[in-house]
Amino acid sequence: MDRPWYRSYNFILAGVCVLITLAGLLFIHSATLHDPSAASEARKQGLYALAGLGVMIAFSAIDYHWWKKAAPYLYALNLLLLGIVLAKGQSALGAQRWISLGPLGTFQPSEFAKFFMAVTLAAMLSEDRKYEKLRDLVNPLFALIFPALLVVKQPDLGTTLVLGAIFTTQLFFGIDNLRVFALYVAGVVASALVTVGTPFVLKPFQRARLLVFLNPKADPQGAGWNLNQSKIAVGDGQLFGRGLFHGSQTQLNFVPEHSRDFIFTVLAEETGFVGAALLLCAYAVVLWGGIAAVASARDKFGVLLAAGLVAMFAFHVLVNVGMTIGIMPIAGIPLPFMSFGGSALITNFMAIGVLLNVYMQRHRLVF
Amino acid sequence: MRAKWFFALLLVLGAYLTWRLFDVQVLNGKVYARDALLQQRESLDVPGRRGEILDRNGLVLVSSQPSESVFAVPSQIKDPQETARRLASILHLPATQLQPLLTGGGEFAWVARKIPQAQAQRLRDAALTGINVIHEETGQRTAADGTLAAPILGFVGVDENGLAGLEYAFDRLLRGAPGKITLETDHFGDPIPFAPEVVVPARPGVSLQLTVDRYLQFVTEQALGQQIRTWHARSGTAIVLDPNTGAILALASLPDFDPGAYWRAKPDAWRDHAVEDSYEPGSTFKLITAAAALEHGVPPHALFPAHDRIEVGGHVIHNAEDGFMASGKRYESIDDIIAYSHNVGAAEIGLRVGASALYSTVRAFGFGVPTDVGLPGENPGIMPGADGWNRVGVATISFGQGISVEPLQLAMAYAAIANGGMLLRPRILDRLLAPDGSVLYQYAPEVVRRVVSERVAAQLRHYLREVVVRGTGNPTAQVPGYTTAGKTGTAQIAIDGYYASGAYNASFIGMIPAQHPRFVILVKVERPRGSIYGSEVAAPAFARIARLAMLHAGVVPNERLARTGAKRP
Repeated sequence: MDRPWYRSYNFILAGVCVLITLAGLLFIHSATLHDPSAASEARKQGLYALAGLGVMIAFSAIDYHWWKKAAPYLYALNLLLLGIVLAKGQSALGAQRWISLGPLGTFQPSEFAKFFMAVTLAAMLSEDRKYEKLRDLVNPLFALIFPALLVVKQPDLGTTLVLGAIFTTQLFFGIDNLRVFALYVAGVVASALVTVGTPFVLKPFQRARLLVFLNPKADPQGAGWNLNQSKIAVGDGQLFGRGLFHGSQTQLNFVPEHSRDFIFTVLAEETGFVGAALLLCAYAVVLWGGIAAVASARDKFGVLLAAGLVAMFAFHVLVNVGMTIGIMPIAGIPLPFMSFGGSALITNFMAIGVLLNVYMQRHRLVF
Repeated sequence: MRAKWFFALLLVLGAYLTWRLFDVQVLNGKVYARDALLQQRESLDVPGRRGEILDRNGLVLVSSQPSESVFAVPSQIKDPQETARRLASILHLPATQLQPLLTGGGEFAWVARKIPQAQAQRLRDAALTGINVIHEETGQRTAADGTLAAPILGFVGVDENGLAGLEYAFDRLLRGAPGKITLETDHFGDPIPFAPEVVVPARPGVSLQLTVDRYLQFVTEQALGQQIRTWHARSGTAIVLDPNTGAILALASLPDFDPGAYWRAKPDAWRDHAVEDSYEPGSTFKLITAAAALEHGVPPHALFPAHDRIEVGGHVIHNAEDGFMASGKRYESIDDIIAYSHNVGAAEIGLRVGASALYSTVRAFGFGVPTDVGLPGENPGIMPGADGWNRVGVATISFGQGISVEPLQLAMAYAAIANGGMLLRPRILDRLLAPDGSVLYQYAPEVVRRVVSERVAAQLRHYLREVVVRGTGNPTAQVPGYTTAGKTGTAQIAIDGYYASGAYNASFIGMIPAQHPRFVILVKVERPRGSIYGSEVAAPAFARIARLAMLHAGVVPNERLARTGAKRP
């Protein structure tokens, strides 16, 4: 590194993430205005954000090659945490996803699992060997399947899909023979069809959500409720929105979980298409920053690690925003930096920290 | 470079997402915004403004004024005792009565309906949690002239639901379509305290324009009231008709009541005596007998034996002892029988024409069936059954006993005589008006049937004229400067099949001017004391109404008629 660190630091990427987080605080506040039980969420999220900021700065200072060495241990830690959730985790809303930390609250290992898996799979796929036959994928698939099964068991289909998205993206960047990648994609699509088409594989509520996604008007008071209400709220925003704190759909509790999975609905109703488009632009900047790291990473591990993390963000944004307007099924995936939730927020800042470090160590000739 | 492909993929997905957002929020935003508003509204009904009732000239008789009502959302009230105390001081109601309403949760309880404006304002200023004041564009039904026409108009309940009169009969037209919702609610249906009231415009009701003339209605009520007071009568009714169209220009029924405080009046005062009562018409019915005779070939100048009493089937019939006795002559004409109101003569006419002819004429005049005027509670009277048309029956029916009629029926029968023989359907409604004042429906005169020929009708009017000129209507039914015609009636009131002693209906039915009548006027006074005769008790009211009706129509008294007056015997 022959330049001072601050000349290679992607301040824009870090700054945009902080801005999105601040916007998140504002809309969490708006979403919880009339819900006394959630009144402290914005304040809590502020504390998580401060912690996250520290984590981001710290992680950006860690040479990302360190993660490759730590990968096996992280993988073990990941399985351990997910195992604890399954054994003695806390339940809420019909799922068992949280570990109690006593007075510190709870935390959600499945959020961290996304980061851990990105690191682990990047480490595996960047081993000094060729990936050009289908059977070369067996090892990484095995590495993926244990944590994925533990997450599915919670049940948390959304996170499982995120893990799949991370893995698939890393394969795309890591595999030498793209024909093998195409075979892999075909296999994934086939098994997805089988999964949806066969009973017993999905939980009833998961099936219901998928069917509702395919036909939202089928059951507007039941399973289609969330989707319809969210879509009405987004549409209610129109071009300029109903005004901050005046999104009646969300303020009046028609939209569920509006400080968490449906935070985008709050923003879309209160600030309209203008606000929503602005937020999407902010995410575009984040993804652009991530892809810059992918494109300029100095080695394969850097490429794969960055690509996995970018995939994580992209998948979250697409699925979360998509579900609020009915073009994605409701999968329980939070909106990065916006949704209330400490585990997700800190995981996101960890990922940004790593991306910053990958970008900082780029070779000079690109970009 | 795979990073570029990846970035391109993300760009495409992002662009698609943005497009979809644009579609939902901008292209279809209005649709979703409407959906949002629809489901956020609480189904607290706001009634549409009730239609008005207007007189024939468009003057308001009854209209609805805005009102304020108070309701509580008990589940939001933390301290019912304190809230009740503050409510009580504003509404001037006992706190002990209010407190139970506010206690024990629940989402809705009326505290007070239709409160004065000032109280509503103080309540709004007080802004008590869980206490809401709603403003409605309707709710206070207000009769412009107090008791005027009250028995026709009727009254409404606390929800402006029509309970009597036209308010009841045309409730579905008058009542507007309610606006669905006023308050924003959350998805549990609870009203949101901070949310402004979203008033969905309710559709106002249809207004009724009556054929009634407010001035004539007033005059008629005054004249009738004066007779009722003078003769200490129990009740009375008076009807003013346009005989050429069947339009009811005035319809008085006394005693009346204040529609704004109808509960203070005895329910009997709510009755519209013109249609809800039937009575034995007595002598006014003799004209129907005469019509039957003329229609069935009895010559207009036919003579009948003059007696003051005859026996029919073992029953004695005698003339009233009122100074117009038949004795002294051997024969009398139909002219005399009508003019002097001889029961014996009328019975002889009836017996001459026979049961079936009399029956068919009585039916033709519309007796025994409702007139379909549109007022509620019509009592069409009682037609005697088959055994009522024996000789005794025919004899007594001929002078108006043993049959009961509705005052409005009789007035329409006289209107047929006045207009040249056509029985019309009486009309109280002139038109239906939309809220913007445009005409939704115009009622037209409706001919039921021809009852008698033009010639017979003219002859009958001549008989009636003779009554006023030289008979029982002289001079009380005369109007200086105008020609009048009409018939007195004095009939004992039958109670449970027996005639009650001293209980009479005194009536007069007449028309003005006598030859081409513009008005047919019926006056009936029930149970007068001091006098029982239609000529004394009812005819003066007829004369007063007739004179004012003519003046109101712009017809001034004819000086020559006024000077010569009518002949006196």
